[in-house]
Amino acid sequence: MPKSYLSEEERRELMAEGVSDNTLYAIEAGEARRADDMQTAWAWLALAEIPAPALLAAKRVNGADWIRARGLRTDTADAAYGKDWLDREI
Amino acid sequence: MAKTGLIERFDESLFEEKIFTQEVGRTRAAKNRTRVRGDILQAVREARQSGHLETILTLERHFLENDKAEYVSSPAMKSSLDAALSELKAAERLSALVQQPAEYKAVDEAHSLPKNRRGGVPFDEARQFFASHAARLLNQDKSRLDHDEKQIIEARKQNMRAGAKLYEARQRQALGLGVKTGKERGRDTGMEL
Repeated sequence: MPKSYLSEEERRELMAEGVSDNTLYAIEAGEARRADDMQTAWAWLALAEIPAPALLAAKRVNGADWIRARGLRTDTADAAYGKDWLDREI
Repeated sequence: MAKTGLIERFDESLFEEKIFTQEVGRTRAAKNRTRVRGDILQAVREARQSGHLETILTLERHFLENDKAEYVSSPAMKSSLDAALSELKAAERLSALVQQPAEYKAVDEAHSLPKNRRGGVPFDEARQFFASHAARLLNQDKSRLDHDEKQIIEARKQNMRAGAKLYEARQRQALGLGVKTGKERGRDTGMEL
């Protein structure tokens, strides 16, 4: 797991609330971003399921290599737009 | 030169926001909200199918009062809702009045010019409400609404069309015009839909 910026207590609270893994990853990413550690922020997001439209928009503005460089999961977009969506004009 | 650090954080924040939105939608509360919106949609459709004008108007008034109570902080929204509620009140009043032919005669006479009549009967404040409120629902900014919320607004719009027809039938009865003929049925009912 990437470095956590949550305190032990915050982590325990989230676990007790039974938040989903995705929620936890996004919370961790936000904490890392606010600590100015973008590398860790992206590492947390790379674990998360990112909605397909958000990935498509990111590809359109930043390019396919930008998404690949961050190691983001693309399963949602693969399912929505077809496996080759990163290399295809859509 | 674009601020790459800022843009990077911005793009990352957008992903977080989309993930949270997705996860909120997966909660039990969100699933049950979708379900109850289906029940609300069903009630709106049942009101139309009932063919009962007062029921259609009452449901719409309850929608509008809820919206008005919710959007207290938006003056533009509030004034639009206030206008809708005032017009609806006039429609409720006329819907009762039109059932008393002797009373409705005055309304008929006050709408003598062709421009104030549609399909041979007065385009009175009730008819104006059905038309303008349907247009208001049509023009409402639906871009940020969920699919189930849009369906409810569409059903409310259809209720306004149904309400206009039911009211027009009462007008014709009050004025002793009988049921609409096939020729008249094709005419403009004042609904811009």
